[in-house]
Amino acid sequence: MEIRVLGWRYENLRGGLRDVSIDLESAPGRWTLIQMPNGTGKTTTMSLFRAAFSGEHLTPDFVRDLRAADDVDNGLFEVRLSIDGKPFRIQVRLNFKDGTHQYWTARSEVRSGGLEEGLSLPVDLKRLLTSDFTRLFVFDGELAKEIRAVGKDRAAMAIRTLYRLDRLEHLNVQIGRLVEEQQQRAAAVSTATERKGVTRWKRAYDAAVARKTALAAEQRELQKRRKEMEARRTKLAAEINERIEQDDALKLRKSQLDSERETIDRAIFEATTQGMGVLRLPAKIHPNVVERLRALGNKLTRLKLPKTISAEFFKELAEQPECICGREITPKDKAAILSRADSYLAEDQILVINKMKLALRESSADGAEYTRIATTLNGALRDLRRNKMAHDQLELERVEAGDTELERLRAEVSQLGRDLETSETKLEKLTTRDVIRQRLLDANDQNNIPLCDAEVRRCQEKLATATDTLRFVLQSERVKELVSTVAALALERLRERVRIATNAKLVQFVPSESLQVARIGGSLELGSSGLATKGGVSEGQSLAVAYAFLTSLLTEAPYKLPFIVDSPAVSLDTAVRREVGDLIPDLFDQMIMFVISSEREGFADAFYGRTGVRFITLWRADSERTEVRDGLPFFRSFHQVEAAA
Amino acid sequence: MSFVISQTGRTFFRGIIAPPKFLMFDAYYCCLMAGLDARKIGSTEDLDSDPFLNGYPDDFKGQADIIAGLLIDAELDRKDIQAEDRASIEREMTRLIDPTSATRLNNDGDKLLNLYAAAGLALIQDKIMPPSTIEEFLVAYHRFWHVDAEPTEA
Repeated sequence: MEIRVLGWRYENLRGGLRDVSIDLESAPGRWTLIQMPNGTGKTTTMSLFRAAFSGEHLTPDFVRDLRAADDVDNGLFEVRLSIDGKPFRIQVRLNFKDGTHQYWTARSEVRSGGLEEGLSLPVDLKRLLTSDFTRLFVFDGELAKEIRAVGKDRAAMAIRTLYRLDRLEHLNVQIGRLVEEQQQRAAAVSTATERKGVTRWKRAYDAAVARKTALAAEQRELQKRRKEMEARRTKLAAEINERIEQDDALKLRKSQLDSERETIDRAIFEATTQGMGVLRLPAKIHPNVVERLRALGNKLTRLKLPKTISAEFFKELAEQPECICGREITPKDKAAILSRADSYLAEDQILVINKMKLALRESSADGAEYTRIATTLNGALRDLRRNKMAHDQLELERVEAGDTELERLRAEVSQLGRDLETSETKLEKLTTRDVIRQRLLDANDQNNIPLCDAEVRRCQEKLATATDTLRFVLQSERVKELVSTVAALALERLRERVRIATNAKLVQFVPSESLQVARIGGSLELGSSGLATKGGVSEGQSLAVAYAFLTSLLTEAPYKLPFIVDSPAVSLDTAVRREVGDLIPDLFDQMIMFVISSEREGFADAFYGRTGVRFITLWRADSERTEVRDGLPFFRSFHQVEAAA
Repeated sequence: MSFVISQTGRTFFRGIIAPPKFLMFDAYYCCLMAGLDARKIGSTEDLDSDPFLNGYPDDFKGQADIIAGLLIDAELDRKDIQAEDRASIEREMTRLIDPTSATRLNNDGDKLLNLYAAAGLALIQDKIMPPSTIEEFLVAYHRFWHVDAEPTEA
């Protein structure tokens, strides 16, 4: 499915957007750069685009705030789209007096072609265009941060929504409903005694399901709380750093410690990467392993194993009328040969063993490499501990010098550590599947989700037996399990695919820095060394990561969506800006970019020589009127006009 | 081939499982190597979990012959089959090898791998605390293998 923006129109909106229309249909281009100075409604336009795509609810305050002036009561934002070549017109009608809004749609599929109330996009598209998802392609600068923020789950959610994995989850809900209906039907035709059993197990089942729901809610709450505490801890660490840096001498020592920490982190990262490579080779774990491999290889050679005669030889011989020596093979001989043939290796087994024998005999590694890496790592870990202690010492010195605020911050960090530990224990008790841990933590089906889950299944089976639907339930459970496995595997593979594509793009975006996504969990987790001590990534790097992720995600998606972005390069330094400017044009089939004049250098100028680009400038001529001018010459020279205005 | 690591094993390694840096299979493999070296197998009750993976991850595919060889070597030792007992050695290989399998092992061989890994986990747990970072684990696992050697720098 392909969606393109053909144009949009404003009526009576703030920023002088009283009657302004942008038409991309008459001269369609792959890229549209719209230069709008600050204060002319870029943010408003982005918000209204998002609303028009997702049909989200706008608050009365937001609506009232869009009013052009007191003399108007109504306003309008209209977007014209092409969806698989068919025209659609979406209107957001705004009532400034009571702060309400309505969506209207005109689509060619409806015979009249006139406007109808509501947002009537094709069903598949409507499901996709949730408020959160729309932010991915009507791109919000804040999103760049959120994609990397732990706890927001933006990255995983985006993959799930785009590839419709939510439909698999929905399928399981539907299967659950079918089971319930079947049981209700069966219960309705049971005898009175049977009904009693059904009622009893239905109650037990409902209670177990309710408990499971409550436990899941408790788990979410604990996870949320944990994330809040972790965020607070990060904030406290920053505040503590600030206080240390108030003292010049301590600041200098801290800076040295930070630099040393960076070196240690890098050494740990490198040695760990090498260590994992070594660990994954059995022959490098310990000299014993190599010795054993070689000994086995030699043993097989000495014993002339595998034998050169295979089971197939004897099976073939058994079918012959006489033996190679000329003696007749009787039925008794044949049976004996066939029964003993199985103690010989098959031909393909012989091949494998020969290959293995070769691998065993050629095992040449020893354990020295692992020892060297472990020694390096041990030293680096010791340095890390020293570095942490020295850092702690700085804080203590400052406290001793009378910094009571720092003392308070340290106490809070310490308390947070204890709270986090308690929270971890509670979470473990709630979620552990480990039987030994369950026993130790006194877990049961009232306080542990896996045990509660088992209880739900037990009650469900009893209920199914009572309603004579056991087979149906078991089969439905099998299907649900299969669906869940498919969903989990699909998500895992898609995450990995998007991660690899993201990293390939990051190499192009920021070749000078080792910025790589190590894992896509709920958020994008970066794996570059030293980032932690540098205080995380810069805004520009964060944007580069977000672009790399979004372009990887959206360009491979089953839907072709336009990419609409506000100030795409404003937070990037010129070098990165030029790379982004050179690279992103090829990533989408339609891009609409709102820029300010300062983004021309390094970013917009990358488009000047291209064909298929529309350059539009929109500016406020006076307090009442907004002008729109098409064309590159005006776009390039606009700063004089802007300055004059 | 379905690899199984017990719930206890999952709990033990949970602090460092972070694909692709440290896979669940890495945990399994470390246990397996320890079990094979000790010539010890666990019991089927130790495998109280569903399989976590079918077939070797890419990084281990080239080690299939070596791992199958280590299993045969461990089995010959565990069953006290003498080095010159050609017939018994050949019988063991016939019993365990399946050329069509990605692990080069048949179902019996695959099950044995899981049991050796279960025993290896118990040995590791005896000597190593649940790790919280991969680097700590790499050092501790090295020490586990070199228990008789001079300690690395403190």
